[in-house]
Amino acid sequence: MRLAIGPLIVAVTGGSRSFDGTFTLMYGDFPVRQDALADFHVAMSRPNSARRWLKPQVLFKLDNQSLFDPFPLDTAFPMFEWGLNWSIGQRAHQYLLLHAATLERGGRAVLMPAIPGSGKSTLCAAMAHRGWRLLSDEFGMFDLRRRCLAPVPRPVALKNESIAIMRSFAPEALLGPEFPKTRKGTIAHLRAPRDAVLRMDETSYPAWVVFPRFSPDTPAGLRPIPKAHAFLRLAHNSFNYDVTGAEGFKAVAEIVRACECFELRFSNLDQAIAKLDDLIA
Amino acid sequence: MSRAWLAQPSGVLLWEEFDGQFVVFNVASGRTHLLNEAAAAVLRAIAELPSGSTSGYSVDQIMRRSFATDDPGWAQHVTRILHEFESEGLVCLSQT
Repeated sequence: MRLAIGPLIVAVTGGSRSFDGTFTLMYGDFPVRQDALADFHVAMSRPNSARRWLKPQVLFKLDNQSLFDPFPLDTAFPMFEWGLNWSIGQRAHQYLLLHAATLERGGRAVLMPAIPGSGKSTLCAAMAHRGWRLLSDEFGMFDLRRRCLAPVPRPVALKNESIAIMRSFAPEALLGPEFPKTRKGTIAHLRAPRDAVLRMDETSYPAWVVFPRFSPDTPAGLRPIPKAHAFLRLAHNSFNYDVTGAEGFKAVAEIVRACECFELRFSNLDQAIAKLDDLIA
Repeated sequence: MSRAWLAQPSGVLLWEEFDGQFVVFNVASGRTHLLNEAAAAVLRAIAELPSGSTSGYSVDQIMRRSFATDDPGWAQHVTRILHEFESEGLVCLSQT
């Protein structure tokens, strides 16, 4: 099956009933483009070994090459998501790829680059259910030709306690099965809101760069940071700044020049979103 | 003979200024550097050397062009900046 995921065409071959079921649940709203040229050919295939019957495993294959060690079969979907992230980061160099949650409201986008454990995905998922349009939980994809952000509204990977937090925060959100004992603990994926998928051809322009950090017992607060510092942190949070060279430098400069730049400390999602909503006013 | 420094060829360094701080990208090395105003003034002085110049600027010349002081402590600071620039490939040591 070939799906359009934002501007990318991904050809996917499943390998198990559980993977196919979760994949359909998470990507059911994405348009099929069976006749389009694929940017990525991904297959989740079962290795041909005795383990096939004892402890079944799955391989992530990109263009028919297996690049990683096999995973347990019952974690095929998290492996697919991780492998597709890796593939985009390795190949989609027509974009400056920022490791950032990206959401849009009123035609203006906020980029939220962050290190693991900062609460980025939880905040992103929460915002996507409070009026912000999800562009991506993982990639700020700045189109180097069109000079805008391209949406890739894939599922949001929630980890550990974030899963229960989101179930409570947005009961209407659709979460997939929980995958315990992955390298990152228990993972569950939140399906992108349907509106985000239906509008994934709508690009937007960056207006804010916000570095979020979950900080227990801290009232939510935005603190402006110098643009030169934001520049370095954005570049550091890019998957392909090194690869894109001068073009990447110019793109980061363009983004930083167009944006107000902040750090956001928060412990409460509603408070954090209220602070971000205030930016629009 | 005192040391002197030359700019990298045109196009090797890309500059962006944000509120008095400078981000410089070295196309040759792929590295990005954050400079404060003083460091940027040193680099700019060298970058303003006439094209094709081979003699470079000494610390004394940079002090005269960019800073209204001949304070020896400041000259030492500028020398340290120049050595750091040299090690990062932002300037070249003059051969003459």
